[in-house]
Amino acid sequence: MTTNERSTDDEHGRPGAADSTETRESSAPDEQGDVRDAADADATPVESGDTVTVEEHPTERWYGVGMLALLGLGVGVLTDTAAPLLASGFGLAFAGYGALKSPPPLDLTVERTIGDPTPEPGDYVEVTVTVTNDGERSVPDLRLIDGVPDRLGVVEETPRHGAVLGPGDSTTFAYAVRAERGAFEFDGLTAVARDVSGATERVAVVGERSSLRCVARFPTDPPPFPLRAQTVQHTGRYPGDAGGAGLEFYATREYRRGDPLSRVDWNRTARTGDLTTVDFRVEQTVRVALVFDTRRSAHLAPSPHEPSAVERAVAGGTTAYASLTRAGHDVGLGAVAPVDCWLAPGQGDTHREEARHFLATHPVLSPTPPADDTNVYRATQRLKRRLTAETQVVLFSPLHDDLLADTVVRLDAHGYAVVVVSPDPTAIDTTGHLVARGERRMRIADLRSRGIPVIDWHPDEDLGHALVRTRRRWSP
Amino acid sequence: MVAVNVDYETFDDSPSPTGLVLTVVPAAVAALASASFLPAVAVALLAVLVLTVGVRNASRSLVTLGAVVLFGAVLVAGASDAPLPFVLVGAGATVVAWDAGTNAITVGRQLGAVAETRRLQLVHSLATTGVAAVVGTVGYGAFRLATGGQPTAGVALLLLAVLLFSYLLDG
Repeated sequence: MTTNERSTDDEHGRPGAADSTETRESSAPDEQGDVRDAADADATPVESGDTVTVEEHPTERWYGVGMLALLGLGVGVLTDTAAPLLASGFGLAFAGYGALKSPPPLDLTVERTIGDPTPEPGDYVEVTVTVTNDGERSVPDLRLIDGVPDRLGVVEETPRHGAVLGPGDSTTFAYAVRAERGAFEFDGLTAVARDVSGATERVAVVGERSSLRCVARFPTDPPPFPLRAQTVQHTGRYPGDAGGAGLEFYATREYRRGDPLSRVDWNRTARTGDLTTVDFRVEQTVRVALVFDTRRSAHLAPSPHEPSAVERAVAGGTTAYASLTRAGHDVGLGAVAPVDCWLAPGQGDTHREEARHFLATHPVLSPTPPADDTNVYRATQRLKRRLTAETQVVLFSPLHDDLLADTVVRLDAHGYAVVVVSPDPTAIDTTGHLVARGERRMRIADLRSRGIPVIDWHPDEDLGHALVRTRRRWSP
Repeated sequence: MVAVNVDYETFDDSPSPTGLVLTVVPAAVAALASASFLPAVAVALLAVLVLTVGVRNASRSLVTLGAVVLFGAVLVAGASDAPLPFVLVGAGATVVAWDAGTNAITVGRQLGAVAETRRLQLVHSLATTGVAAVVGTVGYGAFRLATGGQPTAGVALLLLAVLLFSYLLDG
């Protein structure tokens, strides 16, 4: 199993990647410094419109050009010729040119247009940025870097742009990012302006924050999601394993006092003279809690390019929610995570919207692994306090360690009906990975031998397919 | 959920082709300007190569080395009686090439090779070329006006004084 590294910058050319390349030249004079470092420096911000000048510093790029003058002088004097002497004038002149400091004041307006602020996960979202120079002087050298959120990868073009802007001029550039599940906030645009000679550099961050919310829709035709057998609580649509009032024939039994007359089998009474009561299969509402294992260690994927177990669990949870609420059950959401995370069971349009946003944007379900470790015992206690006795638990976990498997066993022993959906994060490329794979299989076999249904969900498989495959040998 | 293989754009921090062209063209001009003296032009061509490699590999040190060697070659050609306008053009073109090269590296590091930077770099190089042209013209004019007058040592001392003075002003 490899830890999913999708959140790091350098591998996929996320916008922060420029920072990681700064080590390239340590010996050469650092001409421009690092844009990000400069932006973080504690300089007094000068405000002008929505432009905040963060830092202004000499680039020192012309330092040393006077050396050419000395070279010219030396050659001229040694050979007693005029041409090198005159050539040394360039060294002098450019030393002076580089000493001229005239950085234009930055007064920029940024307008960022996001093609679709509420895309589906995986959509390519086009971002168009227009920068206008509101100042009265032209900016001969303007370098623009847009503040793309760290977790969004750029898939087309680049969020960087160079421009020469006269007063009132504007420039436009566009790029596309791939939407990931979650809520994102674009930072301000970093603008680096230089004077003509490039001797002075001014770094500014121009406001204009935009947001992007990427929320998955519930599938319209979700596969039926299996639950464990349960005795009656509330009338609903789940065919329970008990007789009573309902539609489907279940059994006949002897009449007992108090049985409704409508359920007496009068035909049989006419034939035999005995009173018989017909039982129908009761249909009931089940309360289900979908619980996600989002511990740091659960962020696993077979390879860095594949979705992590948590990401798949949330996708599976979306399907399960749609399927179970469609079947008329009350569905709640929770997590085994460092911090509390709970959406009480319910159904209906309001709850559906709440669940949709909960699944998409709750920080606990974020694709980025949490910084803290999870106390599984405490998380389970918290969960148990929330669960009413008859609530079924559908636990989404890669089952990569014994800790959670033990928790499942304990919950089951306490009388909670647990179904485990386990996105398989194992790989087969190294011996260690093979061992981890074997251990996970044994954990699943152990849980199944205790009568706890486990849906082993392979990486290349649709959840519906995994459900069908598992149900063939399902004994609720 | 099937594995996704998304083709993310990676950030390429190498200088753009524009920057390379803006460096190599003036460097080649400088090498041509030293063509009157064969050893000088040989060294100059080598310097052009170093400049090209320097820009390609985003190495400021190599670009500076190439520029200094190129300037030296131009000076040597000048010392061995190359026509004065050639020497001035060569020296000016060397500074322009160095400036374009180092600027291309910075632009590459800040904006990358893919971003639209053509106009930015072109304007920058044009400005530097303009300054170089003014300096060359003034130098040539001064030389013409004062032909044969002052001894070389005197002019050299004068220039040195101006250089020191400019550094004092800067400090």
